[in-house]
Amino acid sequence: MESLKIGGNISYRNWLCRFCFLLIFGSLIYYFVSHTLISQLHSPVLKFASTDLTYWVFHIIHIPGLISGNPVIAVTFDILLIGSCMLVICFPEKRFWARIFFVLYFIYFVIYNSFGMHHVHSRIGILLLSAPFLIRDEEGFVIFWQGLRYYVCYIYSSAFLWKLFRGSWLYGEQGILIIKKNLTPYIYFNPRSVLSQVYYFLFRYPVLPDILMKTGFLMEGFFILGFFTKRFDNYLFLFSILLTLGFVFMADALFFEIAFLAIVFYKNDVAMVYTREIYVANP
Amino acid sequence: MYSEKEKAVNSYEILEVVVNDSLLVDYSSSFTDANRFYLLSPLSYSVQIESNQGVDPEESFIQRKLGKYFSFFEPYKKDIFNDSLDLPAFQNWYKRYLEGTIHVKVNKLQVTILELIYNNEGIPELRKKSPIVSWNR
Repeated sequence: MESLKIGGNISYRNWLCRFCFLLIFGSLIYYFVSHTLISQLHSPVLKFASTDLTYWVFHIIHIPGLISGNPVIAVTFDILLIGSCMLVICFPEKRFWARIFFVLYFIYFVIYNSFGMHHVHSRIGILLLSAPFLIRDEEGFVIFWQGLRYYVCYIYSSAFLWKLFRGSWLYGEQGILIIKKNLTPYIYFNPRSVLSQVYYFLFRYPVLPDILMKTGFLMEGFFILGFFTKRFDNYLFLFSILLTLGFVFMADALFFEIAFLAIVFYKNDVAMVYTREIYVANP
Repeated sequence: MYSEKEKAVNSYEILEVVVNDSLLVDYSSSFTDANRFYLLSPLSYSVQIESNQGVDPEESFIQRKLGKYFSFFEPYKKDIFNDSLDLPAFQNWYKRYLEGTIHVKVNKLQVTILELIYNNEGIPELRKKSPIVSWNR
């Protein structure tokens, strides 16, 4: 079957695969700089399986300790993780490397959260982004990719609905309390920084953080439209990025892996042409 | 995120980490988000274990929820939960990780809980210092 070509010989799927894994590769570099690859964790001791069966199984069969506790295995694991990501970028048409990467990243995800003593949600973005590329057939890929788009709509719209039904959006101090809860160490240790001055300003005018909070809340609600139409995908793409920046500013939490998922809203017209091509070829 | 209504509090507790009596580890601005997470989250959890009489707070939570069925966990307790015996090993790990991050040999580590209150101008002021840990090599 002929697939849609972009800029010559690269199919849309391969172009997308390369782009997504370049983003993922960037995140792995960030983990390296942040001293959070497995070999850089220096055999952590405390663990946090929480109430998650997957984590319980991992710890009962000692996978996190086995990998992170042995420097040779830990370095080998990191090399394989980064290497498999690079191989996907080089050979996007080979599903094998994407599957290897997915399994390794899943293990990394569990280990990172276990020894970080908190199950960080944002890194799930990498798993979600890489999952469609595990699918062999083109039709399955398109369905999975579109499914991922709906799932991203669900992520944000469920955040909107939780706030809506819990009534926190009606609470005028929600924004300022979130900032104080998360930014107090920064403000205390860096009282003269420009950013601290911005927060002092917001504290003097509490209506401003409230407006920011409500703006984010409405942006999240906008994703409900994504279930019914793709006409607003450009806005959803923009809001995905803006919400991530908002989280950094308001809650000091960098959820860039979730922001990567914005790509599912980008150029959906190309994706739809691609989908049509496949259905024309396989009616 | 933060869908639940935030509770207004009178004061905020933060951790202060000082290395070798002089170097303040400003985890709030000098490190990446992921790095800060590893510098702060396990340390906070170790404090919670200590304040929970050496029992993993997660173990207490699951025990409370499961009641008599908690006995299912007995064979796996050591694999899933931490206990006070892990804390000395944790201290050594924390020093190792910190050294790998700040590239300074850690001979002494002091961790203090700072209790802060916001004044009328929105500036946090120190109300109380509670030293919790002082580790020497």
